[in-house]
Amino acid sequence: MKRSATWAVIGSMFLLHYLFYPIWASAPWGPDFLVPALLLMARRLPPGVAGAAGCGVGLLEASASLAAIAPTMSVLGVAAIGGSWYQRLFYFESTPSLMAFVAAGIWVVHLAEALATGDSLSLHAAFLYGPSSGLLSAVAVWLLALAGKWLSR
Amino acid sequence: MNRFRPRFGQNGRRNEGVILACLALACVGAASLSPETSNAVTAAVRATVLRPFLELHQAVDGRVGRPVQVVRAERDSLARLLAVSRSLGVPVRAADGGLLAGALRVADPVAGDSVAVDPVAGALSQVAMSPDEFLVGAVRPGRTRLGRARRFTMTGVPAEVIEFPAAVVTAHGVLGVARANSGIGITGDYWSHPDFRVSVASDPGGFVGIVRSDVGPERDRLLLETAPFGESVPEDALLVTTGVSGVYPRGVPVGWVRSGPADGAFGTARLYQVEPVVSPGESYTAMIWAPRPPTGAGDESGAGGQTPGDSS
Repeated sequence: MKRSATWAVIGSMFLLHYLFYPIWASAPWGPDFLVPALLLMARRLPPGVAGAAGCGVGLLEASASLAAIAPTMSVLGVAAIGGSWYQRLFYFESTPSLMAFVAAGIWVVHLAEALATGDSLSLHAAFLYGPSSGLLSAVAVWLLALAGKWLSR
Repeated sequence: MNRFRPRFGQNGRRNEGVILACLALACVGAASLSPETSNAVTAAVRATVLRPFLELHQAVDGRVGRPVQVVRAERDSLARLLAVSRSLGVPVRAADGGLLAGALRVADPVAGDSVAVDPVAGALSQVAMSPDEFLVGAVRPGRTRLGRARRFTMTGVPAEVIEFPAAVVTAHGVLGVARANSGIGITGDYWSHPDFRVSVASDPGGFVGIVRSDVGPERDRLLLETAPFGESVPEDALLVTTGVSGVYPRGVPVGWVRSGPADGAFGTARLYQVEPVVSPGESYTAMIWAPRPPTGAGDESGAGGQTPGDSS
């Protein structure tokens, strides 16, 4: 996929997240576009810049979800830095590895976010909603990437 | 080689370190913000960057908009009914046992006990104030992805006339407290928020205690704290607000005592489990209490609680 198409897909994921925020907010098991957009963006940026982007996105997300600002900023900032370093250490581009990266990343970030903000985390939320959201998001990202490839032809 | 793969030289590493240090400082700074400053930051972001999205959500959300109009219309029709009742000197016979009916009935001395009500509505009948003091709006939960909603936004209410903190109630009882104007709408805490406290009584003149949230792994409950050597609280007693702090009107149901007592830490209090009247974390058509300041000695608004700011 072309670089411009990649950034278009990432941008559209951010847009989709905030456009349909009430739907995502009421379905914790549903797909999440914010974290994958951040992780995919972080893969293409140096860690510091990725961290700054993560903190900025965290501030937006905390304002939208009314969660505590500092923990949300920190978690998304660290997630972005981690995404950037992960790409640097374990270079990958294949679709299955990308989907696994997105699915696992979403689960970990959602868990970390709930724990850092002091939310009580139920077992079904941690081990049912989290993985479900990760898998659905990975499929959604794959579909968006296909659309991006098709558009960039 | 991947064209996106980050590469760093000596300078790049130093710059990265500086950026990361700045980010860490920013996060520490954000953590040390007072709740008021955090609310101000949140309000600023919501009123600027997120504003187009939030306005779009409000415009699209007809599902919540309709109940707001229904409750508002109900309030207005009951107010008209009360006015007619007062002028003719006949009792109001409301079929509805909800908060507004209870408030109106007792606000009208003519109506007295003429309407049979359920226990909740009976307790609500202690709420003696003008229905105009309840502003109707839509409450929508805010939450992290996997967490439970502890905070909410409320729209459809003019935030400039509200003195914060202000009580937010549904037709059945206390839902939480409004904290601040968030740029678009109002932000507040459900009763499940760790900062929530309300003084309660079993009935006017009965025992008094403080109810706070009790966060559980699967479900949020309320805890009643009473004085360690005070009288015991009967099981199944309905707890209503005392109105002492001025934030909540007097007589609004909070929950039922379900079990206890247990000794609190260091034996400084007795604790009772309380089953809440209203579930937190959901969308509601709710009302915010905005009592008008007294305008003079002849004013008979009948406010049940004190004016916000007259803190206990």
